[in-house]
Amino acid sequence: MLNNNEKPLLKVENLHVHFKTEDGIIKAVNGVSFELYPGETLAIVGESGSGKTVTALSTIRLLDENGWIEEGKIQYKDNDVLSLSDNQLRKIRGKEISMIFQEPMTALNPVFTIGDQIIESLELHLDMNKQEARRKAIDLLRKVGIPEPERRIDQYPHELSGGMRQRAMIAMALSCNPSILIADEPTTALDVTIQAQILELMKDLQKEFQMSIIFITHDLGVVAEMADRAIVMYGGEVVEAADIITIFKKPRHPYTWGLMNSIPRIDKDEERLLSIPGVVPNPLNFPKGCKFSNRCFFADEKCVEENPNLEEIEENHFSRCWHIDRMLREMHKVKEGER
Amino acid sequence: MSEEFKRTLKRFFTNPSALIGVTILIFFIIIAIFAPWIAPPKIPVNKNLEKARNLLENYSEENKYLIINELKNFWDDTYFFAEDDYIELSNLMETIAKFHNKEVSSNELKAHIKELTDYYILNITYYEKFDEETNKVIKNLKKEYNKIEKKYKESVISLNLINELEKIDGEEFVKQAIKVVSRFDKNFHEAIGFNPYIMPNVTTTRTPIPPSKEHPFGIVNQKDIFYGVIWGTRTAFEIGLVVVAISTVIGLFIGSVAAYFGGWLEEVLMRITDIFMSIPFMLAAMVLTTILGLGIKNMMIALIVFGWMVTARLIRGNILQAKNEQYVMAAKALGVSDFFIIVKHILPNTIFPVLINATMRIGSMVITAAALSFLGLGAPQGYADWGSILSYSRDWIIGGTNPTQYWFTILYPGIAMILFVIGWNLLGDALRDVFDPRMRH
Repeated sequence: MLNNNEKPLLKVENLHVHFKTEDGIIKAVNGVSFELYPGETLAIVGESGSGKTVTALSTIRLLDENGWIEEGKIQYKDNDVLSLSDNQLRKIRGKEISMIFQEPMTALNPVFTIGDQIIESLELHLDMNKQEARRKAIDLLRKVGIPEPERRIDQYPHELSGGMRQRAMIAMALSCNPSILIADEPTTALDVTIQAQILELMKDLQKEFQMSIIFITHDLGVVAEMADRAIVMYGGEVVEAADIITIFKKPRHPYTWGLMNSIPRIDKDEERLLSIPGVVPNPLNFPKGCKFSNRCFFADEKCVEENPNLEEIEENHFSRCWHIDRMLREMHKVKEGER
Repeated sequence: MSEEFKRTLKRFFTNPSALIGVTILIFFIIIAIFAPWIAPPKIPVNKNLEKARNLLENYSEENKYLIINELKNFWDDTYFFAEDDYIELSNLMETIAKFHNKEVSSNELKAHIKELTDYYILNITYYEKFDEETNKVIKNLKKEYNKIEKKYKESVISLNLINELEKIDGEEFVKQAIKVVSRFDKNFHEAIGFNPYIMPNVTTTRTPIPPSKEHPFGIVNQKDIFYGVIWGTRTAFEIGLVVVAISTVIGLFIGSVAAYFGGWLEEVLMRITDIFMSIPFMLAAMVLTTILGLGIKNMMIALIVFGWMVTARLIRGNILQAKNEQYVMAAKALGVSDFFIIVKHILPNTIFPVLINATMRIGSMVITAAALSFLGLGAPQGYADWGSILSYSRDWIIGGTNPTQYWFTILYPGIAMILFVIGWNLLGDALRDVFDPRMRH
């Protein structure tokens, strides 16, 4: 792990987030804990509905009206985020912890120019006057690689391409020099070539601005590219956490292993990819024991009955599984069988 | 910003429907503003004041006392009874106060009223209706008292003015006298209840008279159609703008409160909206106007009471949609406060359909008002209003010798109304095309 001796910037402990819906209470996040250190990139990996976005949004208490944090502790620097007043919280949002979203078209307000939206945040947090803020905004746009920023600043979101919009969105998020950037699938809606450019840009900016990034994604390719460390989530729980090389080389949870083997690889000659059977169940009826047991190749009665704990299986490598040994023994057979 | 504003203006003025709409509306606005010059009302003149004015034009020292004499005559005609009336009514007010304190029986009060009606100070109906509707009569008597008190005060001021005039000479006298005469003119019009919006009778013939040089749009029910159409423009603007502005504000308030606060409040407000919507608009407006009493003001109230629901629904739906947009989430993530999110991010994205809807409703409100006037529920007899003129033509719709004989009774007010509605609708369309950034490509 990087910077192991440093104090964490953000510390989330035993986070539980619930949502009230017509069908009942959905427990979207169940006891997630993680730490984020200065300058590192943490990836939160998982399928849709695994609770990865909710976890990230909870760190600045940005939940929908029907959701609430049931229990847990979130500490940013010396602030207990859960006990902050709305006013104090607004000072953290955007200035200390800011966010970029998946769909740059819908995340930018269509009736304002991109300049207006960047300037709004500068005026709000840095007390700049209009002219200073405008100069800074042009500067930011140039930094995120938008050509002719003096002209672009007065354009509306609909006049920009998808990649340009995402760059503008990044400029907006970085405007107040935040220490943490939460990126919620920032490249999912973009073309592959643009994706690569945006990722490259984010890496450069991370170095320049000295910030930490929480990268939410389901795309393992992007994780390999960007992250220092990853936590894998399933059913609102962390199932495996480790540094990025360990996760890819030595996955120690059947879900992570399944994910790794479901990406095509150019260096291995495989006729068929492994696929994890089934889909993520409705959050209201996950299995009683291990949440993954109904889709797992290695599950037995014990898995169905009892949920394993997240154990440290080697230094800084955590996994939530009863049968790591069996998985290691049988995974070749499973692959053969699939084939 | 100014660059964008210029572009918007350019888009607006290269949009053909905007140009036509704006042209039509400017045309109507000019007519409304210049109505007193286009169709001059026949302003009644007081003979004394007229003489005084003539004498003032050829002023000489000898004329001074003639002029003052004329003004005094005017004063006598207008205010001779003002003081007596005022004293009598003051006494009556005292009796009413005593009646409230139970010091005077209702019969004694009635006797006092009878005294005044015998002297023709009060209308006989106050006496006749006293037993049936005591409270209402007393309320109206108080109004009567206020009116007479005002008249008495004006009479004192007027007399002072005349006395002041007597003391001065020469050019100063002319200057002051002109002021006094025009003040008296106003008092005179007030006293006889002159209103330029009431179409004067121009003939004694009942059948419509076709357009002529003097009356270019013809005559129906003894009224000049041209005069009615011109002055009716003001009525149309008044009805359209006032009704739509007030009902839109009400709708905006109810709809946005429902959307922001949600929960049971939203449920209650939207069910009230549904109930209002379930009542047929015309029927509801007709019934309410009848209950409130005929007249333009009451008709406007009825149109407002049943005209806010579409706005409320529209803004509520739009706000609910915008609330879940990602840019609202993004603004929250940037630390923008709730108030600014509503004002800066949600309203600009939701207000356009409401404004466009309001613009188009201005035209249709005028049609609705005309329909009510056509049914005899809106404007009072003779009021310059397009619907009223059309309702006159109802009697002549089948014509005399042939069905198109009295075409002019329908055509001119009809054309005015159609143009007015088209103008607003085109403007509404153009506003949508031009100002809503999401409609641009």
